[in-house]
Amino acid sequence: MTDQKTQFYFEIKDLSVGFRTFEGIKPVLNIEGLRINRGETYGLVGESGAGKTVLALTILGLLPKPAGMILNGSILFDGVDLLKQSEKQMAEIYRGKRLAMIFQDPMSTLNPVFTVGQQIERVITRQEGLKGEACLKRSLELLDMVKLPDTMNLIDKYPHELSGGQRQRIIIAIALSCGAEFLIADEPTRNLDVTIQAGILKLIDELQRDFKMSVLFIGNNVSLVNIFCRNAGILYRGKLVEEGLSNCVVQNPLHPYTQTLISAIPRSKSEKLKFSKTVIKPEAENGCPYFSRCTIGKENCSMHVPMLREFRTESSAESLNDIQNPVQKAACFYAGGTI
Amino acid sequence: MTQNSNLLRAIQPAVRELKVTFYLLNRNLLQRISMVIILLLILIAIFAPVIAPYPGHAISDTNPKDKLLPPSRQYLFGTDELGRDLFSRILYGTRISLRTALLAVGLALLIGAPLGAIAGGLGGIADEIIMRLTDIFLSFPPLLLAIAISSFLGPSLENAILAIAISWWPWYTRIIRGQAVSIRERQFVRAARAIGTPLPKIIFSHILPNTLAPVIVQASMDIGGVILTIASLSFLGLGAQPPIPEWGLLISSSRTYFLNAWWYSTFPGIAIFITVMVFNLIGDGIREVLDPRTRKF
Repeated sequence: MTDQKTQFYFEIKDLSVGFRTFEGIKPVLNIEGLRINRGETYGLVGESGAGKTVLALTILGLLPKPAGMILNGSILFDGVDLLKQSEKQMAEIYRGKRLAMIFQDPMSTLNPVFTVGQQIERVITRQEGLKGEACLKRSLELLDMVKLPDTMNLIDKYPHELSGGQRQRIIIAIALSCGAEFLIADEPTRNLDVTIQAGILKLIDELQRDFKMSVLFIGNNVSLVNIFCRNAGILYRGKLVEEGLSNCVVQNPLHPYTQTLISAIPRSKSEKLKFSKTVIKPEAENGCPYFSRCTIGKENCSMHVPMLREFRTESSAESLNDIQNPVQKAACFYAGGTI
Repeated sequence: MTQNSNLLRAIQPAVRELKVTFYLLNRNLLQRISMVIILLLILIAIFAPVIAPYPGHAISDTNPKDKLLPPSRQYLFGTDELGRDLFSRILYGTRISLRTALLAVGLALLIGAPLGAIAGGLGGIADEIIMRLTDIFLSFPPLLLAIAISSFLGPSLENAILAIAISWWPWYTRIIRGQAVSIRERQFVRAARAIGTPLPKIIFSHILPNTLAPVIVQASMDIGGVILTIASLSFLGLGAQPPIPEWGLLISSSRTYFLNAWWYSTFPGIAIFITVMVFNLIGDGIREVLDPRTRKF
């Protein structure tokens, strides 16, 4: 029984995170379940403010204190509840060693007063105990690994002398310097232009294959997630509203939010962009988080919170054989036309 | 060989930055003059025994037959009541003023900077305790506190340095704390934590170096202020003791002869004035260099 539970490499159970405000504790994240297998990529999509970054920080135990609070739930990583680990244990065992994170804004993730080399070497010295020549050699190896040219010259530059793409590659190099098994990539391509985005994604993809890492990829672009990740989850106002194989989610969205999200992708010049006017209804205090913007919601949507339900649709046929994720899930009473 | 190249690699970027700073400082005429004068002051301080025509007059020798002579070819700045050459004494005074100012500011930084980084980096109770402590120190007028401390410790140059450091450190703590609070929330600090950097290391090797720019400006301007304070303390008899040729002390002992020997108080006064001014100017210049928004191109 317990074996069955721990077979998931990474699992979030009933996680609920809130922020303390002067009006009391405001819940910002409510995730019933999220599972990632070893070596799998999971894409989490959501609009800004949905709680994507809060989730990433919660996993690493870096929620801003004292405002951020974990109200409930557990995050199991390789059988260990990360939320029960002390700050010291997190710093010594998990952060940087087993869990790594790439942050969203490459422009501000490197310390501006040190050269790239100093920053990489510091991490290597601490984590691997290398010094001097060996340390320099290892740093150059890492920069090679992320496919940066002219590493010998680059290593003595300050972050402000580098472009966004170069910086993001360096950040990836630092994050992966210690052979992490689980990578959280929080919008790694934000603030980068499209060609560089492609390069960075390709790099993360290759590294994921080479090192057989599990990746939690956070983004606000469904198409990117579809290309890059096996599974996808759609986060809306702190709740998972849809989950499934990423191409199923994209091709056959079940939740009305996902449907709007996907129809918002511009396809071609001939097709005129349509922005449907959203009728903003009053918020449903105890109901579906999407109620106020939903076009198909009925009265009962404002009374009960829909849970994630399993659906079997045509395009999810392929995934039916998969034991871990047999179906597509959506949290809506009227999802996919079935009730 | 490899050791050498490693060292070279470590200092190379810093040298490059230093060159840029130097270039930027050099473009402004006023700052260029200040830099030259500071360099000159440093050279004077180092080579005082060589330059001074009467090195013996600096400390112990007396020469009563030439007392209170006006400036002449023999005594460039005139002589004092014991017939000592003022020019030599002022040259030696440069040595004392620069050394005490550097020591006092350095000591104040040594106390103030880590405390500020801890307060800003940790926040919470540590922040509260440290900042209230600085409030206590800052509620005394600075000169008065220095006077109180040095009269409590007993009048000597070393005690005056200590007194100034003690009354000066809260300023640095405040500046650094203010910077540290905003830097703590920056992405790179979060990223450093995400790869497992322990908290003390984050405070001292990520936050502290990023707070230094405004402190360097403040410290370089404070060198002038500290020279002035040391001179004031010596003037009041709480700093350097005779026969040390400290500028403030020179002015203090000139009071008696003020009406008859104008040169006695004027030249040490000019020395203080020039030194304080060039350090203020260079502080301004450094601020411009460090803050690109005030850079003039």
